[in-house]
Amino acid sequence: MGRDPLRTELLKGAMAYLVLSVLREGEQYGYQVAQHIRDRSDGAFAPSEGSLYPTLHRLEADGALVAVWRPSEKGPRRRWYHITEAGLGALADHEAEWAAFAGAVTLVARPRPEPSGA
Amino acid sequence: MPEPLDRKRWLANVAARLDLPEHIAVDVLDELIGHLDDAAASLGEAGYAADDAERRAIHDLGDPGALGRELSRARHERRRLLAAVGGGLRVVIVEGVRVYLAILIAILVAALGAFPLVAFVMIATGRSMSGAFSGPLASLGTTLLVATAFAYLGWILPARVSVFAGRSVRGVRAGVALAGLVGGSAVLWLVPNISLDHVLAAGLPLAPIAFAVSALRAPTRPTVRAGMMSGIVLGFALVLPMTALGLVTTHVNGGSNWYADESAIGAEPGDVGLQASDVTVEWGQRPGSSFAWPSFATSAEDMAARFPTMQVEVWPAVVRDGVIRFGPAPLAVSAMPTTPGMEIAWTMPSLRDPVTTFRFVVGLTPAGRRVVLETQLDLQPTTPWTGTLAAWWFGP
Repeated sequence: MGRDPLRTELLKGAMAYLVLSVLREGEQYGYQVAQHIRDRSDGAFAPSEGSLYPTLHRLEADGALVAVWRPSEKGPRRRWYHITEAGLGALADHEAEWAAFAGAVTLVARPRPEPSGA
Repeated sequence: MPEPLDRKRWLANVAARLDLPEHIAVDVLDELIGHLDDAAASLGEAGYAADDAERRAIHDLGDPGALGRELSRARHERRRLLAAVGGGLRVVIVEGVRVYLAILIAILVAALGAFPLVAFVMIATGRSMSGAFSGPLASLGTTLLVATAFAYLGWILPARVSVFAGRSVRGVRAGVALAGLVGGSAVLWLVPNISLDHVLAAGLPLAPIAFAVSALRAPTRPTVRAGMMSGIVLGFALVLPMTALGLVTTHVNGGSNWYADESAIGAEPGDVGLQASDVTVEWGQRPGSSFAWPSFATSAEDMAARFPTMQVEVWPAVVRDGVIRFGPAPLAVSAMPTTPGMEIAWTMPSLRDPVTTFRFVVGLTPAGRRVVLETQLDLQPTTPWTGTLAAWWFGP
């Protein structure tokens, strides 16, 4: 899944939105974020980690996320991300933008009723 | 458990494309290692063999070069350039002051060791300390010291600037080298008003080039840092070179052995019935000017009547075979004051090639003969040429 070009491009554009949405529910490290996106989309979105980590780092550089290192029971330390106030604001913007975008796409794509009468 | 070679190679390829400060790059790679561990473990639980799980985990992370580039880009904010410039300037000032203080300490330590040694040799050989630590060799030493300071700054700055710029040392070397070459040259050519000779004028412009060359080869983690201890160590290392410099720059001849052939100027005092003690003058020198306070055994009015046009003259002179020989015309002339005891001042030429001068009071007799009224030998070089490098090379 997630390998056809249209879905890949859509996923790339929506990656920041998806990451912020997942992290709104609590702090996680990168692998967990990827797993949650995959699981919550029933496998429809299987983000390439190649785009996940740059997104995490860009959001951190923008102040939307804060990252801290914590030791892990499973091996090396993990980098945990949590969302900031600025990140919540950015998430609200993404939600509004996505709703408008999805609505507009639906409007365009929905079949128009046949003109009736002469 | 040793990591499979594929993982190492993949991580090395990511690292090769990471244009980030070293500590951030290490964090990024640690994060990816953690991800690979988690992904491989998860795939193993799902039934993959260990090797297959590892390969799949690596494959899922995608092209390492693209990932390294994207991660670097994600970290490069637009404000980084401003932060790099601001942080770089701050580092230049802080490290520049550190280097300056370290060099001062080094010179002080070296001088404390070298001066007694030079003085001992001078006393033992009956030579004068006159001229010690000056001249072209001293200028060469100064040039080397300045170039070393610039090279040191070039050596350490890329590592410091990389932190502000959010880039790797490799990524900022060229920028730091270029900025140092252009900025350092501009400052060096236009700002400092300093005493220059041919050696300094030719050598100082090389300092920013030393900076740039050093910056292009700067290490990720500079191991040497200028400070009090490095200044002391450098000072001890400079004791012998400074002693040698002191010994080779002292003049052998003392002033007491000179004889002035005044016939080129005019009549000698004895020719007009004057004793050497009839005119005494105190001489002084300030940067760019000289001054004198003459006093006479007879009254100033009497001297003025006998020599209606008294003046202070400074003549170019060379010493050959212990005889002072004068040039064709005075370098500077100042009229005697009408009020006795008043200071006489005149501006000395500031020449690129220093000239030895001999200054004295002369008078013109009613018959028009020039008479040297004061015979205390006092040889001085012209004041050092002072100005900017740009003025030296392109000025009048």
